[in-house]
Amino acid sequence: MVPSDRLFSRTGTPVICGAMTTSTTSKLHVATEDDREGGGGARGSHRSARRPSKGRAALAGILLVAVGAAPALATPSVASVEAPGARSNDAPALERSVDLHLDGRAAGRLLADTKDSDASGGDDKSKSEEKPGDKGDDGVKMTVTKGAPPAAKSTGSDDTFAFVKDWPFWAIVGGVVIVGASVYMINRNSSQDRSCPGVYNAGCFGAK
Amino acid sequence: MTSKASETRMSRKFLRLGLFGLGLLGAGCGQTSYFSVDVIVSGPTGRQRNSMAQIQSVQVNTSGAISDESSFLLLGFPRSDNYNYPTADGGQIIIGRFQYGTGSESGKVTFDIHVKDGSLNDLASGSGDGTIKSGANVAMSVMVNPVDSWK
Repeated sequence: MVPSDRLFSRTGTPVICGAMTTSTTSKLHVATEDDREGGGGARGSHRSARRPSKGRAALAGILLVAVGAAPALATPSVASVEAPGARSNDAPALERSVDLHLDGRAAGRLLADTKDSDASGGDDKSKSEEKPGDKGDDGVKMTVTKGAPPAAKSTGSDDTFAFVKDWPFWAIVGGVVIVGASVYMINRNSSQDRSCPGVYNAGCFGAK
Repeated sequence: MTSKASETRMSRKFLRLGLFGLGLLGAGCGQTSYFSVDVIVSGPTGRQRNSMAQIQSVQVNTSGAISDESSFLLLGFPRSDNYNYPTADGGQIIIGRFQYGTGSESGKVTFDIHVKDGSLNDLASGSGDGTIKSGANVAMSVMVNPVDSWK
């Protein structure tokens, strides 16, 4: 959960103005599309995304001082995570661009729910009344997932193949390989025509 | 923790069983015993190189503790005119030396040898036996006695 004093627009402009100092601006991170899609190579882009945001944040701070404590809510993409019940007075303006820092699956679910609510119309309202804890005041279902879902799945498969990590398994595998190779070599050598030494000028006969 | 310990015990048991099976497999593999047989023509004929030119084939029949073929012809016959025959003690010509293997662990192998001319008539014949030494090569010689017509 990100505190409300860390809410910033894409441009680094603070959205909800709490006590803002230079030390707080250094900790700022604006969740951009690049940050989210970057994956493993996101470090560089992450770093590059920070530098302009600092400057912009400083600029925004100056602007705020000049203009006053007027909230700059006009920016379309706002990084905001807020508890469903704990909405500030400015919340209605934020509704359309809520970044919940969710993973792809949760975001998909959220989108699907949003579409459903658009399609069903009034039904969704009644549903939201039925389960007030699951959905926000505006009818948008808030799904919070902890950790990466694929990792959670893989824990089950790890348990299944845990024996692979144990040495006895590899000892048995090695033993089987050695025995197999031995049997193969014995078979191959036994079926091979044994060379007859030259001293036997009349040949070699019988068992090889 | 307990399951891991039991798993390890099971694996050790499997290993022991595997080794035991391998040992059984090794014990089942019989050793081959060999005979190195010199075929020598006895008497004065056996010392005359020009008489050897009449030999067209040498047939060997084996019996006793054998495991493989019991009848075969020696290779290299007829010998070329300038063939250099080895000789045994006393100058007797060794017309051929062959090796015979048997899978039997013990017992005797009897070699019955017939030296023949181009018409498959016997020029000489004889037999000899040797006792198996397990896994070893037993050197022996079989003297063939020329028939009257070849003397």
